[in-house]
Amino acid sequence: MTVILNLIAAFIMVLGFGIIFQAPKRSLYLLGVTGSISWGGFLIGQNLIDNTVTSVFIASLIIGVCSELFARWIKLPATVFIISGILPLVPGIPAYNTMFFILRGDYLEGLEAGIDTLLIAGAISFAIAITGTAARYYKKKK
Amino acid sequence: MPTVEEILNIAAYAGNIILSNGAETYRAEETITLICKAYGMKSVDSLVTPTGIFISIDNGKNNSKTIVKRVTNRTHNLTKISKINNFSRQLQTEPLDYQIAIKKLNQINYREDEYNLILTTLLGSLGAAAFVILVEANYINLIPAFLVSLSSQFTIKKIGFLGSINFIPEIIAGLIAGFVSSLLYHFKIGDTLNVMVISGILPFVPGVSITNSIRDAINGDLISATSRGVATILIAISLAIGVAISLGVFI
Repeated sequence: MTVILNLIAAFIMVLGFGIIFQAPKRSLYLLGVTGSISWGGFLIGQNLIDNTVTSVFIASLIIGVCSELFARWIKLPATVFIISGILPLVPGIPAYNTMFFILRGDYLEGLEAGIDTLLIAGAISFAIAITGTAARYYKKKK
Repeated sequence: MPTVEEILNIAAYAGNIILSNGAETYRAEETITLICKAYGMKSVDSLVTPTGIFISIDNGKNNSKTIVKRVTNRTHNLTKISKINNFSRQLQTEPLDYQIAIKKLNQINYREDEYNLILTTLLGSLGAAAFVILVEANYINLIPAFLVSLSSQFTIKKIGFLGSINFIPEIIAGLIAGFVSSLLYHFKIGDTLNVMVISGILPFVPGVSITNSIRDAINGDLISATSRGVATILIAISLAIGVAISLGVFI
């Protein structure tokens, strides 16, 4: 039950951010689908490996693949799906904790949270970069 | 058939629109090259950075021209990116005349937003509130998170001239999000302070720019990678400063 609620929440969240970023109308439902599928991947990763960075990496790979497929399908640039799709994964809580701990004077804990933030952001970027470069490579080969 | 200068103008205009609406550097370069090649230019060199576009083209008769375009405002509008994408693809099949091409680009650049202010803030806040479910916080925080996000987004849209200064909107967003969520926390309307604050600042978190920055570095565009990276860090710091100022009053 919680899983289904989670997937619906991911759908709503990505769709909402798609509207903030003025995504084209015909892409909106696919944005939500991207969010749900990638969040499903994140949850599976969390259950199997129990490591946030790895799970985020898997989820971002799924976003990359979905966005390239959907982009081909409805003839839109892949950026449309990537920009709003990665938002549920963006390390908001670690980034906030970094600021909060440093504000309180706990510099060591702040550093820990800061490194967490960077690792998660790096995992997202590398996954997106890998899928994006792969798509361009295969397009050139064809 | 447009002259070399006119082709440069079309390409630079298209590149300007796509770059200032949040596309990656490589996409802007690709679009510019596609447009120039569609008009039959022999060699095209384009260097795109987040702050400017440099294009140099040659029509094969030792007649090379260069244009420099400064890019100042940077927002996100995915519809404009996809329209320009279609435009450059359309040029492949039939190269348009100068007047028609510029008219089309003007139409794309000055088109109305896809969704109006009320719809954007309401549905955007709904999306930010869904974050509460994703981080498995208490569902009691759903409505406070919605309110925090609504207030911070609405304020940013209505701050007038302050919105055009770099990093000021982010500081104000952090300030409002911190202030409203500590008020709600104080009156026991929500029970997790950090989730509420993050829902408020989530639309401003530079997750996309950090991704684009690392992607540019992987593609070899080191200038854009470093400048985007610095911009990202400064935006994150501005958000943190805003939140820190308002939370400092309450803690």
